[in-house]
Amino acid sequence: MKKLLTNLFFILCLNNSYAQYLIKGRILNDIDSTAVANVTINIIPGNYSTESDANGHFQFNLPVGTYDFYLNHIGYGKQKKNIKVIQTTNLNFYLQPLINELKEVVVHTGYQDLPKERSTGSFVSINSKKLNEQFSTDVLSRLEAVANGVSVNHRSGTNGKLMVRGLSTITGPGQPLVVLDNFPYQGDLNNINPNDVESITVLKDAAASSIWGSRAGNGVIVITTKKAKAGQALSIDFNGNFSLTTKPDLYYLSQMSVPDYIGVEQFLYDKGYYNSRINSSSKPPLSPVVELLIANKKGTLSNQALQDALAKLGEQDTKRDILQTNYQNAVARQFALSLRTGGKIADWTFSAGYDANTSNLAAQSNRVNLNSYNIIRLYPWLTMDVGLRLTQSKSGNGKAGYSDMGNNSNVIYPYLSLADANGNALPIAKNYSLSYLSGLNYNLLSDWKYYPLTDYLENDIKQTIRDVVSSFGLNVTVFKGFKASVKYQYEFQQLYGRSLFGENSFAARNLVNLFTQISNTGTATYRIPKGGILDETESLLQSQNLRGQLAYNRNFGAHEINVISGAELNENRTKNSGSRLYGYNDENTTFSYADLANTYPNYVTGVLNYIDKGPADRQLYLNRFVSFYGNAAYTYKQRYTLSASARKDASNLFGLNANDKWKPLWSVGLAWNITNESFFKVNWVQELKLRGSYGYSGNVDQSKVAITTIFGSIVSPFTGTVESRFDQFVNPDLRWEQVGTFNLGVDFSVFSNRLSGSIEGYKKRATDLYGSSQVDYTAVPTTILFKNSSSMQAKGLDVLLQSKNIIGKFSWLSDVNFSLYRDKVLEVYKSGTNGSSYINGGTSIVNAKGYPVFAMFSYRWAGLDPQNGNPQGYLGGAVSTNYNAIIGSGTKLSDLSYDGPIFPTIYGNMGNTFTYGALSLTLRLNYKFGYCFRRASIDYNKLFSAGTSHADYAIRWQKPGDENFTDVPSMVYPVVSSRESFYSASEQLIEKGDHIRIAYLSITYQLNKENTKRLPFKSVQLQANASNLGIIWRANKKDLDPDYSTSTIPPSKFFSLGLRATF
Amino acid sequence: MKKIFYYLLAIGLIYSLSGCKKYLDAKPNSRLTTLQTLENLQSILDDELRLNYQWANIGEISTNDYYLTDVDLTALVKDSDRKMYNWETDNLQATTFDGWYYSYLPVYYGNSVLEALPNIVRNGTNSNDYDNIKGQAYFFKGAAMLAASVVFCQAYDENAGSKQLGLPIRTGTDFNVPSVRSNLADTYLQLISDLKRAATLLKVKQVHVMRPSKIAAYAMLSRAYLSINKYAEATLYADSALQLNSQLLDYNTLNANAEYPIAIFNVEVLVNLMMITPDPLKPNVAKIPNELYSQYKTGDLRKTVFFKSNGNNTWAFKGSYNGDLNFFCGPAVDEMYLNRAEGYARAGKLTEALADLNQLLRKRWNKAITYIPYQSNEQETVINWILEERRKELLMRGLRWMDIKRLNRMGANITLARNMNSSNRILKPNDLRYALPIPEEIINLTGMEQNPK
Repeated sequence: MKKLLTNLFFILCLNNSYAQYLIKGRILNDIDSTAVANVTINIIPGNYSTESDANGHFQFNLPVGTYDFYLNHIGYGKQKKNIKVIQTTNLNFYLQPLINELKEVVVHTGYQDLPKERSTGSFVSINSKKLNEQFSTDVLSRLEAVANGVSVNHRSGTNGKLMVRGLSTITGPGQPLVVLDNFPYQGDLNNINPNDVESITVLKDAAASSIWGSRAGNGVIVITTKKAKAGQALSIDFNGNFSLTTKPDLYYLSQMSVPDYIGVEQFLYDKGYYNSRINSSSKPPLSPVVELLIANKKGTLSNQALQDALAKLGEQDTKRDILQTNYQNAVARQFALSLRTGGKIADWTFSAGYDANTSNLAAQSNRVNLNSYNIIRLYPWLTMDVGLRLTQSKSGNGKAGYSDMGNNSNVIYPYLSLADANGNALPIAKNYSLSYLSGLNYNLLSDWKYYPLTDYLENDIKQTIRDVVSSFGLNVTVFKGFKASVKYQYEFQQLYGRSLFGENSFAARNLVNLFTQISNTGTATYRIPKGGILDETESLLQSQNLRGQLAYNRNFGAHEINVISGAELNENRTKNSGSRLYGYNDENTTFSYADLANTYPNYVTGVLNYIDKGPADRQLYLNRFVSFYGNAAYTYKQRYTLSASARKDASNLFGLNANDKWKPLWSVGLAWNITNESFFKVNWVQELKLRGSYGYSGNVDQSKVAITTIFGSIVSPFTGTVESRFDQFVNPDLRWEQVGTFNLGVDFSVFSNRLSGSIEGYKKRATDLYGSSQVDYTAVPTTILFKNSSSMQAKGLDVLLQSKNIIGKFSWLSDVNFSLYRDKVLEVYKSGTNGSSYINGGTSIVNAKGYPVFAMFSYRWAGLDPQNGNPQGYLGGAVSTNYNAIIGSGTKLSDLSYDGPIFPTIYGNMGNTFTYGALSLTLRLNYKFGYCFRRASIDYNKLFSAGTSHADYAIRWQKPGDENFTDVPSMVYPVVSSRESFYSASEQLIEKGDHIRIAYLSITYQLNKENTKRLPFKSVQLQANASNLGIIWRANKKDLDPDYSTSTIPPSKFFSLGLRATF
Repeated sequence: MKKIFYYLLAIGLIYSLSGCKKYLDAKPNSRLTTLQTLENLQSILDDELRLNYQWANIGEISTNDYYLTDVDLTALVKDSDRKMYNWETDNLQATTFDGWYYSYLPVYYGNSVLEALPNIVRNGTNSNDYDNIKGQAYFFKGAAMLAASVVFCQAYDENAGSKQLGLPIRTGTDFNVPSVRSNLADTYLQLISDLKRAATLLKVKQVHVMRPSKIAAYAMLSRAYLSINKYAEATLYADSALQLNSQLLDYNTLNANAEYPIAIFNVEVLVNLMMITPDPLKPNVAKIPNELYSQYKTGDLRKTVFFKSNGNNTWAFKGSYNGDLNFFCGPAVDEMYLNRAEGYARAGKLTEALADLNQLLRKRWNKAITYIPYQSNEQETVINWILEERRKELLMRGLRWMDIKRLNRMGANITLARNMNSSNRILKPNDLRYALPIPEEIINLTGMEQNPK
């Protein structure tokens, strides 16, 4: 630092020895003549350099001569002006703001904004224009169709799991870190109003993400919001759109025909399969068919009546009925307004958003967003920024969906009717058999039946999220190029759930009845007071971030230095609590007490039970991080850039020694801007840049601890003291996972920028990964243990191509994102050698050394036994039906069939935009190749015990000869569960996952004031969009969507219409 | 202004750095603690869901105190249950959380407590709790090993105990130490010594019968000695238990019509241990053999308290001391009367033996009908009476499998039969299959020796 100052002084002295003139100037926006601050001005010859101040002013002392003034600004691009200095002069430069945002991209790391040109790391930026081609309430779901190197695994959970460049961890948390403006966003990501988003930057390699240290192992996604720029005239944006989602395709869930299902039930009834249920003292639910068969056996239903009733059931269809009565098209409305202006002292941004959605089941939800962000220039050397972001979203309950049709063991009978001919709601068997319930005396009990058509009317289930993010920052310019800043952010999120089960709801009636005692004299004691039940849950999140940062950013002619360094504290505090009130009356908010401390007999079984305490609970969580970080970049002659970053993190990870809590992570990067070389004189190449980086980022799982911990769950009703269970078992070797990434890329732009893009190859090696392994539960009461003993390697290629195929009044633009990805387990921690431990449904890892982290293995298939339709496998090389041995010790890893990776090895998206005048059309496709999935088939075990059926039943083996055209085994009774396990994990159920789907189709009509003078707006845009249009090509012939698990219905078609206006 | 700002910045930095260590030592979850205080140790010993409720039930599935009709047997959802019922030899346990898992879980809990205790200073104010906690740890270890050896080992042979296959003995929590089977003599040596230590340390009466007491430890010792046919010790410890609690439940006070007439935590319960009733033993399918049901005479209240008619001249069990569907398997006062009676009888003390037997049965007899006491001078008659009454009294208490094994070891020649589809399967006395197979998964993971088939 000191050296730098001396140098500076030296340079100044040197300059003073000539006769010099004062050149004063101002830099202004060409469009509205507002001042442009922070423009870098380099003057050659002489290596003079300065920056314009907040009012756009700059000044130099220059000897007489002719100079090239190079002006450079992120938002305005580079300009060169030739100036002759003969006397003291006042100069005004007008800069044209960049309209083509693709050209000069700024990458936001959350710590600093860098021109992409100067970066050494791998960044993907998506601007708001591209993001806004899609409509949705949230913003991250829009990434899959447009981002490079980002994939979503839809098989895990409802929203899928977003992955940046595949996996970096085997069992640790796999989600990338999401940063909103400056700090990680801790609240619900659905709180973010997509209309506030200016751009999304995905940090892919170590040079990009290692600044985020131990939480960046899975990549970082930085969301930058729209903010007013200095000198910007008032701009008002309005956006309104309307979307429609069609009813879900329930028929995607395969099931056998209703007559077949009834046939199986009759068969099982005759075999006595249902006897234990029928005779059970807990009176479990029985299917309508079984009830009819019982009535027939008892003689209360004639054979003819039985046949008629069964025939009638055979024509019914639960899915058809529920689609008609309970499902509707979902509707979403979204409105957003934003105002931005930049003044002399302050720049201010204000935006508001309102979303109102109605789901397929008529559930209402809405969201209100308010956002304000101001930058105030207190002194020339001190600016302050103040932000406040408020979100409130509310959602309510809707009608009963298909999955709510299940009984208490989730069996959905395929022939339910929800309403009679007059539209009156009909009961279905939920917790108890209908014949048992019909036989009860209801003088003292409430009606005990469940009516799925109307029950939702009795419940009022709401969830409210309130989120406040307030931020405050001070930026001090200590001296030229040297800035100090402090940023503080406080986030408070309240998640409040309120479930009111009305007095007439099934939930309330069921519990009240269950704890009703009727004495011999015929009086009733209600252990749970009659009335409604009110459950309330609350989760409070308080997150605080404090960051102090020093930045030095100067040009010395050919030398450019950019250094930041800082420290930060982060604390997230969560408090969860819940309560339940019995006998609740919502009108006058009265309630009664139930005795939770003693046991009372269950009305049906007589067993003594405690009354359910509901969601009553209270828990506190606290995560803390302390970090120190630094990042330095040096650029020489705008050709060579060397960057380095380092970060040290510590957290309050439980049970670690303080020394082990600190984790140092670092990265280095190098970039070579070939186009700026004087020898490079290829005029059809506009940009050519090579860059490479290597470094480490980490991954921390706060739930894993290094010592034996116990978890206090409840106060024992017996001893009155706290009860605990083991939470984690002693694991003294626990460390943080780390990921080393090597990245090599080239950025290019050729043929007058007609074709541009980047090609990057990367290799990452993740070590100290938490590996899970089966353990000997003789030694420790758990079946799985974690150790930092696994490692994996992944390599891939990300290609981004953008081309302007035709330009002019009619234009055609294309872009392609293409990624290759392959990973491999290098080391594992695994005991046990049976093949069965490598087989799973494709959702969990298998840990086979040398294979992909998610690898599909299956049992080899030897067809059906022609004698009896039994599925056949191999045991010691010979065809066998010894299922116990095949799925047990008789099969090792080498005996299994390896079918391929479970995650796509080739994936990406591509888009084409055609524009004719004001009209443009965009079509985007997503594609995934090179992976496999396991399809479902009939599993007789699940069919008999859980009613889970599959259409394959119809093509099962029934007689010798059938084996020539089917692979579906025969039905045997009783079920041999190992036979079912073998079949459902056999290789012939593996399908290729390769497919191409339409991500969306968007049509836009845009009018600008420049072209249409009469327009009262600056610009107005009408947009129509259709997404989830389905798969246009797939490798599997079964019409299956490989992206979704067999029990998930792929999302329905989605249509939107939107208007966007700028004043 | 500028200066003030720098001062604030400097103060802020210094403050945040100095507070760093303390800042990072905060607990990430309010419920998370370590085994560092007596309260915490007691709290894991009170984890009744895992320690008290999950005792191995697979021995009970294998007994002859019930039967399944062919229809009900084929209708069983899990074919592992079917195999278990039919005394097959492979893949009898369908899930990981099997008898083996829940037999070794209390051992780990016990070892964890025993390893943590030396780090806590025992002093005048905490010595009672300290000892009581230590006692509970030993009790759960010993009792769980006893339950496991009854299921997974052959009946102890006095002359060959050191050559019989025993169980792995886990003495610490380090799971890197491989599990190796010991011999049966060592297994018993270990579990009996654990139970003896428990008996010296435990309180006579706990705040609740969910916690094992000194009486429960004596009772478990009596059961352990009985299982290896050491009657003198079995008598001694049964007597020790009865000295402290000999209270019997009078069945005349029960409502026999109730769904489950016997209340949980009743006066006879010494420590509440239970096994989840497996599907084959659920009362909607498990039927009591006529041969057994007919042994309950008119006037015997157990005939109505224990059994529910299925309507078709078959009977289901409803007499659990757990007050519900699940089977109680802890030691109780009635068991102690029978243990002591058997011990006295085998020692030739017939008067004392019959006194115990009659005292128990009077509480089981309808007051309206005169009870005619057992009287005999024939040792063998008395022993047989006691064994008959033992089976009738301790029905579905997790003891029958142990009794069949130990009595056959003494030459009782009890042969079990299953009759699925008239197949007439026989389990001969001392058959290898009396030691149920260790889960295949454990054999695969550890390479330990499987029970010979």
